[in-house]
Amino acid sequence: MIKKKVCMLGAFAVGKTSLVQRFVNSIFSGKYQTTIGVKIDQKMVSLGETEVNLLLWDIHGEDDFQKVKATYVMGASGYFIVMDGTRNETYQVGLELEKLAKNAAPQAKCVILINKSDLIRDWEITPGQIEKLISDGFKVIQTSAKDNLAVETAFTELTRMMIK
Amino acid sequence: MTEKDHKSNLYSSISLGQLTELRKAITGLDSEDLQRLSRLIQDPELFSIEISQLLPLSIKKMFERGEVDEEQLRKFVEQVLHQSVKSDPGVMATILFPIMMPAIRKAVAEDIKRMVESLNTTLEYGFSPKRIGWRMQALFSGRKYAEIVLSNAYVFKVSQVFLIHRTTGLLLNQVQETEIKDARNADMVSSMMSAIKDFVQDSFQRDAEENLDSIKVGNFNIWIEQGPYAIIAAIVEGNVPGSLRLILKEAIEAIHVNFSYELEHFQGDTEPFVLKDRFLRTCLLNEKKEIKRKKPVIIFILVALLLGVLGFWTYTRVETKLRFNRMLDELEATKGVVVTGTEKKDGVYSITGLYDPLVSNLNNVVKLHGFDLHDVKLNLEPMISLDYDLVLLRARRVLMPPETIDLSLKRDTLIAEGAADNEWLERATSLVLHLPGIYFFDIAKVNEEKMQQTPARQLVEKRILAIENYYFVFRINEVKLDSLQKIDFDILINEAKSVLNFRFDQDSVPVIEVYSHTSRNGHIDANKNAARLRAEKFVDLMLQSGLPIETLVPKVIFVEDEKVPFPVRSVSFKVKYVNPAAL
Repeated sequence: MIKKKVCMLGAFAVGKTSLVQRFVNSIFSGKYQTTIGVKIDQKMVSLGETEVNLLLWDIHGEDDFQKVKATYVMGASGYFIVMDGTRNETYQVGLELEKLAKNAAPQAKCVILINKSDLIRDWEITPGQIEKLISDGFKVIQTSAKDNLAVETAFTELTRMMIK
Repeated sequence: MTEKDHKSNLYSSISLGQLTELRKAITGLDSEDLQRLSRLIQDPELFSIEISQLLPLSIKKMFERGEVDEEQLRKFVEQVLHQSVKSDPGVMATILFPIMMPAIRKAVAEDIKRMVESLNTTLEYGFSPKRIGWRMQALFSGRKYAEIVLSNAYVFKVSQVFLIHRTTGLLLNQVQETEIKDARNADMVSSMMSAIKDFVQDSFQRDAEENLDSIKVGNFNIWIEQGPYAIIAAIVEGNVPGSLRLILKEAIEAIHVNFSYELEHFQGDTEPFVLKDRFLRTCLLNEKKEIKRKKPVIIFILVALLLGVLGFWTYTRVETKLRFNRMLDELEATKGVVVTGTEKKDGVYSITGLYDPLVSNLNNVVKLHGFDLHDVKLNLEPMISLDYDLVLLRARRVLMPPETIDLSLKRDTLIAEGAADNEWLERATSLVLHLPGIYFFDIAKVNEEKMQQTPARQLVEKRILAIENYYFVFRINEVKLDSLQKIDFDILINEAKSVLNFRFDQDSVPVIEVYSHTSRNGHIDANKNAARLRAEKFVDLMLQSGLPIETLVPKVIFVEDEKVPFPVRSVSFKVKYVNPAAL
């Protein structure tokens, strides 16, 4: 069996835990619960004949008081940088965390998730910014943990990139 | 011409170009190659650089061809090192210092820690009889005392062992005592442990060489032993010996030796580690066997004791209850005893009810059934029983008849038979009135042959005369005794009671006729009516004083009809003996 460590990174309240819960348990709760430290979850993903056990490290959101520790990311085979489409400041935080992750796990694959696509009319992150990410070589997927939009796709895509 | 001259002539006849072509044909090298070789030969530094590029490949090829093996190389290296140390130990010490010092420090710290743990455990059992037993065991078996202590003192269990990839935190393999129910959870546990380790390392460690070596969660201890690429985490319970640390250390070293390539190039495939789990299994230690053997015996003894105590307790409870019921039946069957209730409180039975003090000692009944008076409390209130035997017994106790007198009871009449003196008869006649359950005293058969002249009869006749001499005068329409009349009335009543309790024979009973005197002056019917009311009211007074109603007969009489007339508005009395059927 193949096992892979996957980290969820992003500013606080972007929906990292919701994405994991939607993916692992197929549930969504509108109630916000901040993550303290790390919460581990897992999900088996099948790609063709290969079964991959994803160990999902849902790491606390980064803010002024809680900085993400690089050691949490070390050894990861892949990571998601999660941004909240309705909060432009999460874009910059996401990019900084991407740099941190790149340093800690240079071989790891990265997918950027612009979450909360159910509220796309209220988005502050502009199409231009998204275009910039794509042109910088990032894989970008727009997701909604609430409406279960592209969540499965995102995890499957990262798995595919990791075992390539 | 010499040979030298001949050669010189030959060279001079061959041009330089021809010579170059000839050299190339023979050696296969052009002049540039030869010049480079010449420079290499002449410049040792340049030559050594050239050789150094070839040497590793050359050694590798030699290994592949089997021309040289590790053993030969090891001997060579050892000789060199030995020679170096012999010639100048300082050089080697300087080289090894940065590596050795942390290693030595760590080893010493580990040893001290293990020794302290071992000492703690030993001291814990130090002053117990067990320790003396172990000493004896060591003495006779020839084994070291420490071995004996180790095999006996530590009771612990390593229930689960995880092998975790250090960098990724992924679970490489795990073993546990029983079959793995959900290996996927172990993956999460493994990752979480790794996260905790990272967190602790990041947050609290001051020195990079310091590692998290144990986590305590409730009753569980997680012992962690770290290698360069992997970590062993053992879930341990109980009093774990320090030697377990050494076993974990050896296991992680063995894993690194055997899986060095797989660990270094780990890409998430755990298959190689799962197939070979013998290294982890060596860590699954358990030293609870002796206790397990002993446990059932102790439990069996305890259960047997418990059942024994329970059985004995039940038996005594049932036996006591049956005995108490038997005692209660006997008490209830005793004449003169009435049981109204029983109660048990704090192990003491309490019986409530009534008893006649004439009944013989009831405490004996309690004792006869094996009860202590502390176990059974008799809360009985005294009463007077009208039971036949007790009425007769009471009469005997009170009247104390002489031996010549035989007393018997027939319904409510006490019958005396035999011979007695006047004094006893007089006393008995007055006392018998106070005995409950006795309304008549038959002395007809006492001194029967002298009955006509018996003092008792004379006494009664005297009393009858006295009664018949009494009279009470009242005002019109009033029956109220003044103080003097009250004294007379009391005497009258006593006399009347004595008389009414005396029978001259079985066929007649005494009655008292209460005469109310009036005259024919005035309205006769009104006078008669007033007299009748007076008689009835006086009878009421007598009834209130305890005389039986059937013995009192109110009557009206006109003074004009009397030979010796009583005063008008007076009440007088006459004693008569009548047949009981006429009452």
